[in-house]
Amino acid sequence: MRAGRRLTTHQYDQRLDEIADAFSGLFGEVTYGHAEFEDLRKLRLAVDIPGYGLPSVATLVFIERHLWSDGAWEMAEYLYDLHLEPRPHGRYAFHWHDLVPHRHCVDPSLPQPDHHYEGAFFDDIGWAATELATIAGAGISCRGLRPVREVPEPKDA
Amino acid sequence: MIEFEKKPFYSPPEFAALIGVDPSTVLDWIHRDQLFALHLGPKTYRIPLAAVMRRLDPEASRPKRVPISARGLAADARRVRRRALATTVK
Repeated sequence: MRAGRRLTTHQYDQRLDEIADAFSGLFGEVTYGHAEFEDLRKLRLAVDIPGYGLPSVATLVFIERHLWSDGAWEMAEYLYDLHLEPRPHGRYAFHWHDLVPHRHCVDPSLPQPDHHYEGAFFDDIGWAATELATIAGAGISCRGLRPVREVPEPKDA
Repeated sequence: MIEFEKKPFYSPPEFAALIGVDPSTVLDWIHRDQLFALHLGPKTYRIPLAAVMRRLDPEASRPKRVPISARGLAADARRVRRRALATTVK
C-alpha cells in the first residue's frame, strides 16, 4: 500500500474542518462530516453546485478512509467524484482504493464498455476540487484517457 | 443581508452592481485572489453563487457539519485492513 497522509486524532479533526473551510465560498454549498467504526474513519465532504436552494447542476463528493495504524490515522483510500446532475448525466472521478489509483470517466453520450482509466496517486484534495470543478464547467470528455484494462467487445448471442 | 436574485454565476459587472462598487474594483479583487472566480477566457470571469454568498452572507455560506452514515463501514474496515496487511506482510 502506498503510504498516505498520517495524522494524529487532533490533526485529523483539524483537517476535516480545514478542508470544509477551504471549500466554502468557492464552488457551491458545502456539507461535511465523518463516521467511524473501530479503527476506520470515513471523511465525507459534498459540494452542491450551485447550492443555496437552486437546482443542482453538479455535485462534488469527496470521501477519504483513514485507518488507525501505529498511533496515527493513515489515509488508506480516497474517492473524489464529480456527478453532473440530474444523474446519470456524466461522472468524472479520481480514486485510490484497492491499491490502484485510477480515474473514472462516464460520458453518457459516448458509452464505453468500461469506465476505469489510468491515473496517478496524489495527495492534494484542493487540486482535485479545482480539476473537477473545471470539468463540471467544461463538460465531461473521456478523450485521451488510457483504459486500465482492455475489455473485449460483447459477442453477439 | 442584501436581497438579490440567486443564479449559478455572476459576471463582474453584475456582482459590482449587487454590492455597489465599480466593476473595476471587482476585477481588481479577482486579480488579487481576494475574490474567487472561474476564468473562462483571458478577460472573461464568472463568479459562482457560493463566492457571492460568502461576501453577502458569510454566516449562511459556512460549511455545514452533518451526520455521516456509518452503513457499510464494518465491511470497509475489513477490506482496508486486509489490503494493508497484504502489502506489509510479504
